[in-house]
This record gives sequence, structure tokens and C-alpha cells, in this order.
Amino acid sequence: MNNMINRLKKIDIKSITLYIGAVLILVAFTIICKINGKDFLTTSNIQNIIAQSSVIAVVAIGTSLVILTGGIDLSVGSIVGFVGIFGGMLIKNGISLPLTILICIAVSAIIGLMTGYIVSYGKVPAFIVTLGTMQIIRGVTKVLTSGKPVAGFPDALSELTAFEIFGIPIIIFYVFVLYALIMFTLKKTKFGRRIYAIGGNANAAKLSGIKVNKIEMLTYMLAAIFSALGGILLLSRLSYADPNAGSGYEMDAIAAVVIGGIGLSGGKGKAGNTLVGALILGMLKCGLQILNVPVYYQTIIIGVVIILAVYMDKAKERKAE
Amino acid sequence: MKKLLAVVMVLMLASSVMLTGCSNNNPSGSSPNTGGNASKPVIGFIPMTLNNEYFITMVNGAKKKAAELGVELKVQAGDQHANAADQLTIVENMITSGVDAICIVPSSSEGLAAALKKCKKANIPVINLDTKLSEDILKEADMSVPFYGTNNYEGAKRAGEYVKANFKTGTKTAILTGIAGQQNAADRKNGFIEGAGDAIQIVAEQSANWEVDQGYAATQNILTANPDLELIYCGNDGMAIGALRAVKEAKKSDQIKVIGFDGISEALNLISSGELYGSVAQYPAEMGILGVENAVKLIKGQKVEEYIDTGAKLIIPSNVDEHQEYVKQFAE
Amino acid sequence: MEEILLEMSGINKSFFGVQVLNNAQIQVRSGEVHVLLGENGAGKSTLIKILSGAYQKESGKIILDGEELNACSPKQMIEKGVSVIYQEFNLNPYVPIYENIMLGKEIGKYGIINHKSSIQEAQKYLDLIGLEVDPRTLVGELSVAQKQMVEIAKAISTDVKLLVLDEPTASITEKETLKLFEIVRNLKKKGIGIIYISHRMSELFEIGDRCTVMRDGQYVKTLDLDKTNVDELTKLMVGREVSFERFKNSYIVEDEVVLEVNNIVYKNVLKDISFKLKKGEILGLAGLVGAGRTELAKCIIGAYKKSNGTVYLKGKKLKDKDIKDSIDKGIVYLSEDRKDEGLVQIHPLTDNIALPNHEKLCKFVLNNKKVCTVTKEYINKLKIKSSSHMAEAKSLSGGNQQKVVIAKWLYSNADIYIFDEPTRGIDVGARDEIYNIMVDLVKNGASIIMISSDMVEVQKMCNRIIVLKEGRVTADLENTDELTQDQILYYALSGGGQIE
Repeated sequence: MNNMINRLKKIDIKSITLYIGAVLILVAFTIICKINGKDFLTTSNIQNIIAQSSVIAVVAIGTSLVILTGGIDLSVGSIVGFVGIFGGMLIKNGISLPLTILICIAVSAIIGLMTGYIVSYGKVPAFIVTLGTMQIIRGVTKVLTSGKPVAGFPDALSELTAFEIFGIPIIIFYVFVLYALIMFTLKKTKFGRRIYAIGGNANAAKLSGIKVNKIEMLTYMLAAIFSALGGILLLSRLSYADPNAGSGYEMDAIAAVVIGGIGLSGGKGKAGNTLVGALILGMLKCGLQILNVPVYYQTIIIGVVIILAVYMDKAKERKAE
Repeated sequence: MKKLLAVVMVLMLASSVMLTGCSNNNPSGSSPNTGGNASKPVIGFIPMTLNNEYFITMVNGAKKKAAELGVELKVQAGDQHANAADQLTIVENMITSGVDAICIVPSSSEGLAAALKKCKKANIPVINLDTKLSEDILKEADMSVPFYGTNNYEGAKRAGEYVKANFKTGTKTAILTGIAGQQNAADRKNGFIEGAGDAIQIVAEQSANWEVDQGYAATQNILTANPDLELIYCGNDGMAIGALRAVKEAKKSDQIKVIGFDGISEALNLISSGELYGSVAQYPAEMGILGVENAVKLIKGQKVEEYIDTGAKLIIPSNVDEHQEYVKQFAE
Repeated sequence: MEEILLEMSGINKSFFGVQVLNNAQIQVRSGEVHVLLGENGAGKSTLIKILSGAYQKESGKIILDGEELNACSPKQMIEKGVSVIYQEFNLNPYVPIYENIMLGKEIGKYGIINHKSSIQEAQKYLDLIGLEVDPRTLVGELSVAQKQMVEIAKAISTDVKLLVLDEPTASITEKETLKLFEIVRNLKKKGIGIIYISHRMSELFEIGDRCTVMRDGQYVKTLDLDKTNVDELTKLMVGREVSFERFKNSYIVEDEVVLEVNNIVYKNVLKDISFKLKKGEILGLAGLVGAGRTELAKCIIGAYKKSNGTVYLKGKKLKDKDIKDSIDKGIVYLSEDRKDEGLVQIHPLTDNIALPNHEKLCKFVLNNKKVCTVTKEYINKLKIKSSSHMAEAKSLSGGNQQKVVIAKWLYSNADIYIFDEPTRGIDVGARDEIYNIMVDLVKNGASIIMISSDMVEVQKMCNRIIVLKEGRVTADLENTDELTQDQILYYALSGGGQIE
């Protein structure tokens, strides 16, 4: 019994801090909005926040995996943009929606595999490889349509995310299902545990017979696949594809990951908390806009929150020293 | 310890929201009695971005009109140029916060279908400013949206016609365009080419993405390739300012004339000092004013004009003073 | 009699309660080459680090040139004239030689370096030691021997009185060694005192004047090198024969050969190594640090890519550079470096024990319950002291961490275990427990290769001992009761081609 309590104390203190932070922000916004005569905590607004955060949240799943191994992926935003344009063109050319999604995932997976191969087997720093991939993919995207956006899609595309079950847009279910899947994978499967081991100590993992390179490569592939899924969600939400879409998403995704408590050195943290990180970011954007705070101040506040979140996350380590 | 930090964090957040909220309310808040007055109409105003003077002038025009009419104006913009996703988010949040009408400059003429559908569902009228939404999008959203703005193509054509009247045939010309794929970038280029006709011989054409630094770099490269260049036409003033700098550095100010687009204040200064040859001025403040004026009418259920051309004019040294005088009233 | 340059006496130092130096002493005269001799762990490096200011002594006296020094920082010691040249050079490979030499004493005004005079000044020192390389050459482009000479040049540029050379010939060729000796003799003539640390017996007699032997952190004796010989020195280093229980009589070695290592070559570290391991055997791999023992182990399990050679486990060939294949076939390696290679320090014990055993603990999904049960089982069985099975590995003491490393491999149920320095940094009580675990393993039919620098340990545990010296097998000894430590040490120090 005592053991159980100890366990809870030890394991979840970081998560609990995060949840308390998230709830406090929610409460703070609700109160401040009330004072200003606005409603923040309504069902429809909560749905809005989740839907608005969904693309970043899904992209950040892949980023979480890569960061857990101690890597970094800057190319995720460009893949979001690429999938929008590429998938949009496929749909415009009469390819069915399910097939379009499959092709987008497959193509992105190949891109991710190549990136991952160069990082893990080629031993080129991930920061540099993915920086290059980002530029290449962005360029390819613009070449596809000569930089023009793609628009005018059948209703089925927007229904993919806007369809409502019990009055809740289906996009919210997608996010939760994907997160449930990745949390399960990380906690319960060989692959998941090995991702942690590599981030924690790649040498020890290697001497334990783990194919470190292979797993590292696969995380980059998964990052690309989740970016593709994010890209499809964005395409469906906007019913419009812009070649510049998703620019800066890599940074938002990294922010969501670190707010969620996964350190950039890898090996530790929970993917589920990345969702909380993404929702905190979404909540901030939404709340500040409802309060009509000018965009300049919004970015300042979000920057402060990112640093504060990680500062608090590190409080325990500082104390230990 | 950590809880304490969490509390501190939220307090900071809260106070910053309050502070910025207040600092924002004062200039935009119109009537003396601030606070949640339910009967006062609220208009959401969404420029493409707030990162350049053109849209800031538009917002100032709108604010002036809003103060005059006693309505509340809420201004929100994405932090990046041309970001459809951000605009959708802003529209959603404005609907949540309960605006009565929305004036919007779309990031792209085809990108707001999802946002328009949400407005229609919430029964919020929309006015389209500056960049016209495509007919397809309006059909898709099944909505009639009035448009007040300039025809970019006509404005550019005016600049072209001026060039045709004042330059020799076959003037060696370079064109700097905005973001490839955007309709207004194409219009500003094509209108100019049509107006100038055989007066210009285009020796170089580059996209500088509306940016000063990229306009500067692109011009340096163009000058290397074409030392005998005579005219540079730029899709906006930012790129023109960059181009002018490169020309100056190359000590070719006498040989090469630069024309911009938008008539921002720095461009006007440069025109009156004789460095910039000219700039096509639009009337963004007029768009803001018309937007707010007609949004109020729509809220009251009155009829409004479907289309108003806010006009464009080529500003040259001879008319720059007069224009500067006009613009001054919308500067902060 | 030359004047006494350095006198260190009564030096004590302990780390985490373990006494590393106990009344250690050394006395160096001006213009002599004084050899410091001792086994691994005898306390030579600690003594030198105290001299250099990197560590502070707990008690004792350091007198340099008649001045008593107390609590000096490394920088102050350099100013006093003490320079230490370690095996790992302190040079920046990306800048030229002259910048390395002139670092900290740059010539110039207002913080702007006068490169021309700096180069001239550096050239002066290079000439002194006879290094004929342009001072503008990048240090990274130099050979090891050249880098060493730059280090020496750097040292003499600071007006050095006492120079410490730590294993200076470990990684240079014979020809380069001769050149180094010439430089050392020149420095001697200038009245500089030199402390020379080396294991190469032949070398010591060639270059050294006197010799101080250390053992277990204590001063043993100082001798004139021309009045002694290798045998005497070896005996002094090893000391009295300690009585101990020989575990080796408690297990029986079968005839079946389980591991066959043939002609392993690895870069220039391992030179054609072959041996066989029998079922139920504990085979000791003795040798000094740098003899190539860890490299051999890593080549066998496939962590390093061998340049040549094969390894057969029960007749099946192990794939090249494929650790997983080796583990699957039944051979595992327990690293000497628990922090960097043994455990994921930031993960709980459960994850660490499960790591090499995922196949066993997973069907489709990891059986977390089983992981916990297994972890708890090993915590009890190996008496691991931990607050819980979910505690992070880094929260455990060294001995307990080592037990976790053993646990994760015990559960994998291998046929052959390679223990690399299994008791390094572990207290005496825990040592015996680890010995017992090893004996239990071989009693149950496993075989063990034990790499150890602790001669007592090797004699205690092994029934056979292979001695490595500079990448070659210099002896393959039955561990009979007659075998003495100085015999083993003899092969590790000076055994050469004459054996076998």
C-alpha cells in the first residue's frame, strides 16, 4: 500500500503539475472572460479548442516519438503543407478520398524513411537532415502547383472532420484515438519501450541487442506519417490547400512536446501529455483571441508560457542538484 | 514549491491578459462607457496580417469609423502572412465571443470556405475587403458577401499606362512579384504589363514574397545579370524599398527608376525626396471605413452595396504632398 | 648529490570513504628521471592528480623547490613549474600548433594577438625539442608522437621545473620512442625533474634513474634502477601473497568447448588472438589497462567490427557486428561501464531488466505484470538494495547497479557471460556476493569470461588465465596453487614474443 502511494508520488508528480497548470489556465480564462462578459467554458468552445489544436496535436505525436529517442524533426510542418497540396491534387483528379489518404501516408512514410536513414545510419545530425528535408519538401510542394493553392473540393472532404457524432465533431475522436494508440504503443509494446531505451542510453540499448539504428529510422517514418495525418486533417478542416500551410508547425509541435514534459534529451516523458501541451497552446490562443488581445501580445504570452512550463518541469532536477 | 510556481504562472498570465486587454481596449474601445453593453453591436475585423502598414492603415480607418458610429471593433490577425488555418481559428473564436458581423481580408481568395460556412451557420454577416473571394468559394458557402476594395489589376494598369506615356519603347525592365500563386500578385504584375505595352522589355522577373530583404537580394542579383537595367516595377512598396537600396548601392540611381505599389508612408517620403519614382496608392483606410459602415447597416438589417471600387492612383512627385496630407489622418 | 626538487610525503586521500592513498610519498631530484611504478589502482594517478592540483590532498606535505604548497589550483601549479602530460592530450586540434603553445600567454597589445611574434616564440620551443614542423600546422593534422612533442613544448614554454609524463610511449612507435628519450635526456640536462609513469619494464631501465614503487595506495620502496631488476620490481609491486579462498575448486569444468575464438584482429589494438572456452569454466582475461581486453570482448559479441577472425559458439558462427545475433545464440557482455553502457540510468529497474528480454516478456504486448514479478524476484535473489522495483537505476549504489546489470542478463539465460571488471568500484561485501553469483552460474552449466585487473580476484575465481599484453596473448596459464601473482604480472608487463 505504502509502495503504491510512493509509486504514484514518484511517477506522476510531473504529470500532475502539468494537469494542475492546464486546469489553472482554464479556470483563469473562464474567470477573466466572465469578468469581460464572455463565455469561455462552454461545450462548443471546448470543442472549438480541441478542433483548433487537432492538427498540431496529431503532428506532435510524431515529434514526441522522435524527441523521445533524443532526436529532432524540423520537417513535419513542410509535410503538412505537402500533403495538403498533393492530396488536394489527387482528389481534384478524381482519386477517391480513402485512396488519397493512403497514398499520402505512403509517400510521406517514404520521405520519413529516407530522412531517418540518413540520420540513423548516415550519422548526420537530425537537426541538419530534417532542416534540409523541410526545405526540399517545401520546394517540391510549390513546384507541384507553381505555388498556387488548391481549392474547390467535394463536401465529402470537409465531412471527414466536420461530421458529428452525438453533436461532437469527429475530428475530436480522431485525436483521442490516435493518442490512445500511441500511448498504448509506447507503454506496452517492444517498439515503444525500445524508443525510451534508446533515448535514455543508446549504448546500453545497443549492447542489449537492440537495433538502435532501425528503431531510430522508424521514428522518423512515424513522424512523417503523423504529419501526413495532420496534413489531411488540415486539408479537410479548411477544404483548401495552401503550399505555405503548416509552416512553423514544427516549432508549435516541439512546444507542445516540451510543455507536455518530454525533455529534448529524450528517454523520458509521456506522449499523452503532449496532447495536454497542445491543448494548453490551443487554449491560450483561443482565450487570448476571445479576449481580443492583439496578436503581438499573444505571441509574447505564449513564449512566456513555454519557458515557464519547462522551467517548472526542471524544478525537481534543480532541487536534486 | 511547484504549486506555487503554477500559481505564479497563472497570475502572470492573468495579469498580462488584463493589461494587454486594457491597453487594447482604450484605443479601439469607442464609446466612453466601456464594459459589457449588450446592445452595442460588435464587429470583428480580420486583416490578412498586422505586420505591415497597409493593413494597419485599414484597421485605423475602421477604428475611426467604429468610434464615430459607437460600435465595438475587435481586431485579430494571424501572426504570419497568408495563413488560412489561423484565419479559420480566428473566425471560430470570434463567433464564440459573440460578434455581430465580420469584416475580413482573406489570406487567399480561395481559402475561407470553411470559415464562411461557420459564419452562415451562426447567422453572422460577412464583408469582404481588399482581396476578393472567388465566386466558387461564395457558391460553396452559399452566401452573398459584399466586396469593397480596389481592383489590383486596374491600379497596376494605371502605373503601366504612366510608364508607357513617359518612357521610351523597349525600356529594359525587371519585375518583382509577390508570393507566387496569389491572385493579387498575379494581377499586380499582369495589369502593369498590359498598361505598359511595348514601352517595356522585361529582362527579369523574380518573386520576392512581398518582403523588403528578399526584394533587396533579388535586385542585387538582377543587377548583376542585367547591368543596363532601366526600370524596376515591384508588386508592393516593401520590395520596392529593398530594390531601391540595391540600386543605390550599385550607384545606379540615375540610370534605374523604381516603381512600387501600395503607397505606404515610407514610400511616399521616398517619392517626395525624389528617390522612388512612383507608387500605386490604394485606399486601405477607405476599405476599413466602408467595411464598418456597411457592417453596421447589415446588422440593422439594411441593404448595402454589393461592390464598391475604392480606387487606386499612381503617386508621383507632383501629387505626393496632397496624398500625404490625406493619409495623415489615418496614422496613429 | 643533486638537490631535492619535489618532496611529497604522508599524502592521504579517500573517495567516498575508500582510502585511495595511504601515507604515499615520492621524492624527486632536479635533473633525474624518476619512475613511478605500480599496478592498476595502486594510486599513481591519484598521486599525480594531487601534484597537478586537480585533486586536493587530505593530509601530508608537498614541498616544491623548498616551498611548501597548500591547496593550489591546477593553474597555480603550472605557474609554480609543474606540468603534467596525460595520455589524453590537452590540445585543441582545430587551431595551429603555435596557438596551442601560446594559449594563455599570447603576445600582443589591447587583446589583439600579434601572430607573427607568437609564431616566432612558438618556433623557439619547437626548436628546443627538435620538432621540425611549421608552427602554423593544425594540431589535428599531427601524429600522436608529434602531438606529444607539442605538449612538451607547451610545458617547457612555461618555465617548467617538474614534468610528469603519464605512459608517454603507450601509443607511439619505437622510433618515436627513441626520439622522445632524446628529448627527455635533454630536459634532464637542463635540470628539469621528470616523473615517468610506464609499465614497459625494458623502457624504465633505459631512461630511468630511480624508481618509486606503490601498492594499494601506499609507498613501498624507492630504488636505484641500476641496482635492481625486473623480478625484484614485480615482487615489490605485487607484495606478499595474500591468502584467499579459491572458488575455482568448487566447480567442475567439462570438456565440451562452448566458445572458439580464432585469430581476432581489430585495428591495431588486437593482433591475432585465439582461445577456447569450455563449459562450466571461468576463464580470466588478465592484463594491464590498454592491453585490449575490453576490445576483445566487444569484438566477440559483435559490438566492434573485427578486422579479421571468427567466433564459434557451440559450433555456430557468430555474425559479424550483430549483437542481437550473439545474444540470441547465447553470449552476453556485462560492460565495465555501468553508467554509459550497462544501464539506462534514468529508467526504473523494471525497464532495465526487461530491455534485453523483450522477446521473452512480450507476446504482442509487453507483460508489465511479469516484468514487475521478475524484477522483484531478482531484487530478492541478488539482494539488490533499492527503494522499490520502480526506482530509477541512478538512485542505486555502484554495487547494486552492477547487480541490476547482472540481473538483466541472468534473466536472458545465456550460455556464456563476459564480465568486464565486475567488481570495479564495488565494496567488499558486494564483491563476494557477485563472486557467488558467478560460481552459481558455472555450476548450472554456463561459462564465464572474466576480465579483471584485480590479480587476487582472477586467481580466486578462474581455473584458467589468459594474459594479454598490447593486443597479444602472452600466456595461457592453468590456475594452479603454485601460480603466483608476480608470474601473471610478469606476462602482463614484460611478456613478449618469447612466450609460447
